[in-house]
Amino acid sequence: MKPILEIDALRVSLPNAEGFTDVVKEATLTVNEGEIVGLAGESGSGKTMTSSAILGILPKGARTSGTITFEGTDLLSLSNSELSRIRGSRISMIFQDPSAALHPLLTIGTQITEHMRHHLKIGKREATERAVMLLKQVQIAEPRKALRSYPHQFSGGMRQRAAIAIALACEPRMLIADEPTTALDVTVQDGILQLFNRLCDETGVAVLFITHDLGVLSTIADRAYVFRDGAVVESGDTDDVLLRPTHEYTQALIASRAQSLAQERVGAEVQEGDHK
Amino acid sequence: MMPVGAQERPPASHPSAPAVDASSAICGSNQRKPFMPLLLKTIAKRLLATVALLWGVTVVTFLLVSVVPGDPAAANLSQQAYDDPEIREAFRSKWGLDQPLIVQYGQYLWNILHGDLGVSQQTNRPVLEDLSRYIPATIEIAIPAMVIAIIVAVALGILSAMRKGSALDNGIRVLSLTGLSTPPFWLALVALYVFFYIFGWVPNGGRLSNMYDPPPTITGMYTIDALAAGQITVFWDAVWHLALPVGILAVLTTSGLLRFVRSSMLEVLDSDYIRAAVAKGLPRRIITWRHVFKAGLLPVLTVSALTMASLMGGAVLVEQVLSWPGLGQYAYKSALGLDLQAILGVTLFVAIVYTGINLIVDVLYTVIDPRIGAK
Amino acid sequence: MISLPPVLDAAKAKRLNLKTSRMLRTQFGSVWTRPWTVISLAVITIWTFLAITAPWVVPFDPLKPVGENLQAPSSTHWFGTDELGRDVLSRVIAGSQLSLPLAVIIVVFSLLVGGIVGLLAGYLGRTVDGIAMRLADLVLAFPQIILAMAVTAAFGPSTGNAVLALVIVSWPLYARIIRSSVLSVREQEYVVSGHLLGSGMFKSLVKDVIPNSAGPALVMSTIELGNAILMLAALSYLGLGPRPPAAEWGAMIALGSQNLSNWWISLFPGLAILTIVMAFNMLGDSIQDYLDPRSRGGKLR
Repeated sequence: MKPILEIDALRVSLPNAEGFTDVVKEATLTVNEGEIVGLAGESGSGKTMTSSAILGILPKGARTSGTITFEGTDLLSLSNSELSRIRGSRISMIFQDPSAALHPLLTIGTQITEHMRHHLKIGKREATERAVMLLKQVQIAEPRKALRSYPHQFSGGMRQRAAIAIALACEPRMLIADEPTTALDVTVQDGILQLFNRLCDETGVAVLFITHDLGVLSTIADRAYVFRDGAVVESGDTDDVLLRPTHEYTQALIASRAQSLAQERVGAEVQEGDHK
Repeated sequence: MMPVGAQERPPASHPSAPAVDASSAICGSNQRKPFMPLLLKTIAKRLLATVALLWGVTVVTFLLVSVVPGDPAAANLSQQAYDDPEIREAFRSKWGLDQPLIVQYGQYLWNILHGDLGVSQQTNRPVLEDLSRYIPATIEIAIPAMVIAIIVAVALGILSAMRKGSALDNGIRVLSLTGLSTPPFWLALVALYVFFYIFGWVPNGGRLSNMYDPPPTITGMYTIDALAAGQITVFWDAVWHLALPVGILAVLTTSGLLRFVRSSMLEVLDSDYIRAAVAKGLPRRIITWRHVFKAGLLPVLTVSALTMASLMGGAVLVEQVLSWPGLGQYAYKSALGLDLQAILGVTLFVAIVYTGINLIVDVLYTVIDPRIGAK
Repeated sequence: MISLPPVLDAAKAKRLNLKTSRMLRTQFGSVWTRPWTVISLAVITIWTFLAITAPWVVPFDPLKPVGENLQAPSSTHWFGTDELGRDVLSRVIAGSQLSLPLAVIIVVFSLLVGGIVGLLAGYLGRTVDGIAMRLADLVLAFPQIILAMAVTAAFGPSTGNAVLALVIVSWPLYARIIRSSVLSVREQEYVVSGHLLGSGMFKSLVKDVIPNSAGPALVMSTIELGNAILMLAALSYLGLGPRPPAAEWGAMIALGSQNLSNWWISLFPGLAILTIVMAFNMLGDSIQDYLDPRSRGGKLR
């Protein structure tokens, strides 16, 4: 397995009133070609910050140290303009809430083709044809009509599929998916997860999949890293992590997940009782 | 300062981005409702609301002026004349002030609907004629001021937002805050003092120098009319007289508008879709003009239109100082003289303009924002 | 408070962002490190102090002639004298005794009236809400100054009527804030308890509405304090406010405008207005920044 992304001893600090707070502490992880790696942990554990650091879209004033090696280059050492050549073309990001991440006043077509034309230097017609194929790939019906539509005309799941198409537009080597299913209905989540699997198989793109949901993690990730308070506390094959966790935090996480599943069932019953 | 450049006050009843219908999957011809009928429907609804509002305005203004202790007779007659009961009664019956209120109101409404706004007590001219005389003067300063304000405010606002926290941003913010905190009449005085009294660069108020006669009336705006009549020297004289009032109004309006543009742009810059655009590796130029500009401009459109209406308020004070015979001065004199017909006429006009602008803005919104009207 | 199962909770996802924002918000730091906030508070404090202690602080009697007429600023009369020989500095200071308390009164009453209307509109809904909001729209359909002018002129120019006019003109702003606060509180309660509002709800509504709306209401009130001063000055400039010989800033500016060469008569009252209104505006801005969870570094320091 050849690694395409290697994060080594990453530290991310954000400014606050007293000075700086470390939100990511000495994180080390690897993503190999074609695999889906999960980053799991609760909110605020540093998983999103880590992924933001990769693309250099951290909040203003953030400081970093360590290395993020991608295709032989340390991303942290690149300037913003050098990074922008990688963003969207070699590494793409899919955000959590597609309703917020898609521009409300631009058509889907524009949003798919604009960076394609910028990065790949192709003309409008060719870009449009590629866009149609991308939309088919993510299983959006009537792609040509979709190109002319605006995000608000889509359902949540459709929007996320469109966002995925946008991310794939320039055939990146790696996708960073930041909780892509969290904002979606449970019924729709499955479809998106399957889509990820399929895309990974078909195109060989590597995926860094961030989630706080252990269920999603087990479905999608080949390997997993567990984050807590900015540090990696557990890593390995997903099966190993979930079935034979070594760190107590992971164990607690799994236990609370089981508990909340039970709560869910109770809650559902209570609701039902109310309506009677 | 309220009369001009309303601070970030949201307009009366405008939709912010309407709640997005998340459950509509794309299918069939569900793109957008057929456009023209929707547009007409919007216009029709707004017109109805406008008429209702205007009716409310007439009632309120009428009540206000009628039921209050001030006596128009006392305000408009000299003390001697007022003391003479015959003259007083003559005055009252001439202006129908001795009739019951409902009758007065009914009469008034009837007249309005026939285009008769009554006769002004102080000028003894039909109010409509007064309005047609004074309104162009105010428009002549309000519109250029508005145009300048929009251009400057948008430019500086975007600049300020994109360089948030920089010295430039802070400087712009302080400047706009100063403009907002300045009493308009005082600013006009200071400007008059500096630019006329000290430097002599601008005239001492008025629309035209004494040596010139106004050009033949077409629009009532001396600049346009002079051009139309080919009186170039008169034209330039009129422009010269415009400089100060337009400048002051522009400064005042820009201040308020600037804050709004800035905060609107900041909100956009903060949003996820801009972050996503950066994550796509798009060049800054494209992000600024295609993504940020478009999104931030919609709310600015609303506010710009509304500042036009409140511009009239600021005009009241500026016109006073600079002896500009516009609607503001007319409104002021009518208020002082309790000139019922005139006050009603002015109020009606202002309300019509305001609601008319609201209507236009609504229509523009429907045209520009693809989210509105889609199922 | 029922905790929703984490898997299904999309709202929690939003909180993911919030926690980060909270971290960033702490970088806002203590109030005292931000110069503009400190300056504006200082200015307001100074003026308040002057307003309270005016009778003892003024160098001369503001209402009596104490020197030669129309003297330019000098060492005895720092701001010069006006056309009746009164000391301008003393009059400017005395003006604060008029403007500041009046502004406070205006804001308090507008808040009361607007708050009550907003509460009723939000709570009783439907017709009451409709009427209230139409009324508010009606008032807001006029440029403030024109409406205030009309009311003052109609009721007769006086201090009291000026205050009345400004309250009439301002209440809709507060009404809207309170009303939207009521509506959002109602929505939350509905979601949580799944009940329709019962009779005991009004009290708890009020209890919830106050903290909910306190922030925006505070910001608005601060800025409106400045606005009230501006409006008062405008009205008295037009001769529709406090009557002479009261030392009101707007009236002083009006008197000074009669002859431009006596610049000091108009300049200083105007500067007084400018400084204090600007201080209020800045303070309002600072409060807004403080309350906004998205405030990051780089704000007006």
